[in-house]
Amino acid sequence: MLGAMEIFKYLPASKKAENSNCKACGCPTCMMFSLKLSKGQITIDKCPHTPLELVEKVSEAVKIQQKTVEFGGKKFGGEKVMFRHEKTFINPTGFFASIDVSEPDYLEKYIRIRNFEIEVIGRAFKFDGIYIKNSENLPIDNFISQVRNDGFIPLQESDLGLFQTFEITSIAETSKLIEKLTNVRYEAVVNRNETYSDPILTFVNAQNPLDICAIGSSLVCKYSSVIVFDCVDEAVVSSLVTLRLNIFTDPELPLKVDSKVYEFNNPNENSLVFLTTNFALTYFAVANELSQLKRSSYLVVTPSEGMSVLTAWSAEKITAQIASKIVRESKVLETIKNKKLIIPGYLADLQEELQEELPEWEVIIGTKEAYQIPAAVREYNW
Amino acid sequence: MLKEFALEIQYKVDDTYPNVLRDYWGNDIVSDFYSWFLKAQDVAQNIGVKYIALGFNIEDEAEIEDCAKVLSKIEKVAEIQLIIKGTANKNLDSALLPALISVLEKPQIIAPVQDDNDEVIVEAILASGVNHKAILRTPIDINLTKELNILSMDRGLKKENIIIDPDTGCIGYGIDYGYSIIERIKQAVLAGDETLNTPIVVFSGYESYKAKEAKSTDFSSSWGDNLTRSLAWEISTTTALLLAGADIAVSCHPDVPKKLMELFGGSN
Repeated sequence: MLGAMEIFKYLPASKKAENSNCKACGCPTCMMFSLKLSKGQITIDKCPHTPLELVEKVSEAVKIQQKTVEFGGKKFGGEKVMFRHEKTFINPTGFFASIDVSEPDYLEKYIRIRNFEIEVIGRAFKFDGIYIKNSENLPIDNFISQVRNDGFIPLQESDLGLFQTFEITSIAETSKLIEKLTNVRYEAVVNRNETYSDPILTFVNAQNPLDICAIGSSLVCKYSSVIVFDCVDEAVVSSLVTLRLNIFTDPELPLKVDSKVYEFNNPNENSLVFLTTNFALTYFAVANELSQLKRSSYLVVTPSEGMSVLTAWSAEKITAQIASKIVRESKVLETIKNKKLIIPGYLADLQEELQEELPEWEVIIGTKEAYQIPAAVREYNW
Repeated sequence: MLKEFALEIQYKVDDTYPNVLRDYWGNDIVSDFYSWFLKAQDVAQNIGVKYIALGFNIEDEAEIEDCAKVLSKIEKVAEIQLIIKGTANKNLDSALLPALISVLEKPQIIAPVQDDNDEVIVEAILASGVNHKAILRTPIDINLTKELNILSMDRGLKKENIIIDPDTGCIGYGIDYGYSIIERIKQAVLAGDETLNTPIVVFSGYESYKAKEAKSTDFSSSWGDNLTRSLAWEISTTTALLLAGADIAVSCHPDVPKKLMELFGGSN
């Protein structure tokens, strides 16, 4: 939508002309009308003095770019930009598995898909839904109910009218397809061309897992709102789920995580206690390691303005005072029997001072890199 | 520019070296850098890969002399363009890379040049009298990328000898930062920014194998089998970055460039 100032330029009060602030629209001033119009709180026809140019601009600006399709609470499409860095991508590409109900073993395939579940950075992922194929003349109402009850979206041929549909069978077709989808996206979000405003659904019928991986990765990055996979390989879907999570992350969100004590694998008074800074990538690297350990642990994350360990160290955003404060203030850490605090290897110089601040704890210099943690835990018997 | 592909091998391996890579190359081969290079060159030429990156993953300056010896031996039999890759430890590289540059006789590609050691390494390149290219690496920041390009050109490095490395991570480990930086760089170039108009390289293979998902066998069945998952991790990472606009992808498993050339077209 246009901004308030942009709208105001066209109204009488901006030129101090006749009819300035006439209140015919119900607002006390032209400026107030502009503000409300820009927020969608009033319609342009309430003002009898709008020039044609403004009316045209506003009706263009409210035209939808890409439609949103909603199934069972999940949204697909609705995108507004070509590049995620312009603002963000909004609705993660839907991953559907195709089940051909005319095949005798279709339930077996369904059960395998139903059981697929992975966890990435503490969030659980399953398929979004099932595309039910070849259901003509078959009694599938029970199957549809089961799919719904299992938490999946049942998609049928009759739903395809909501999308622009594409199909790809071989990896060699990928470039051409991506070019097409790029064009569709451009027409939708830049030209606001209604012909191209339906979200995009792509059938991936390739069978080779690595082909599916390359094609699927391309479609996640470049513009498919939904992907229907004919063939499912767990390893490939895992990597596509991870890529999707990254591409659809809002770039404007701060690169830091909350400063607090995080828990991994149901910790208790015998668990390990680690410490690091609140830069998102640092946290993810360490959290990934701790979540894979056989032992349970706590992770103390310091309020270091989203800086990595070394940056925080040089900027004095991680100090003995900052670290000891958060440890001392934690009620849950009070319960730890064998108080050992494992600090990042790059903060070795901090150990002495921190030890003084926390006499009830043994401050241990841990590994420099997160990936070294599991081996160190085995070797040093912390 | 058509996408170009590279394979990366390591000066030395230990038991943390991913099993799927060890299985591909062969246990005996990976313990001898020179033999490994010969095999890798063979594979590269068969697939159509354009470069081989030699990763000198040392920990100590004392190892530099041996690195230079084996590099000299390799260059004599190299028919393929080499990427001479240091440790990324700035201090160590400021000793390692000039030493390696000093034994090179043909134009190769030197990586990574970073802000703190750029003066030493760029000077070594210019002093060599050989027309080497440099991969300039900056930590996922478009302004730092520009800065280092401009600084290096001021020092005398020719623009056509610069390759940008935005230090991108793999999927699950921050690929989105690198992905968007690359898109922004390409947009800036289209809008007329000449200082950023150099090819972009990603070490997507090396980054992918840092991920537990690509290395470990310790995952539930939902994550699939180890080999497919490692390849998928590399392929997803590399495909995304190439689509963002990267021009050169350096991979670890040869099946990755082989597969990606079916999508992007080959390089020879």
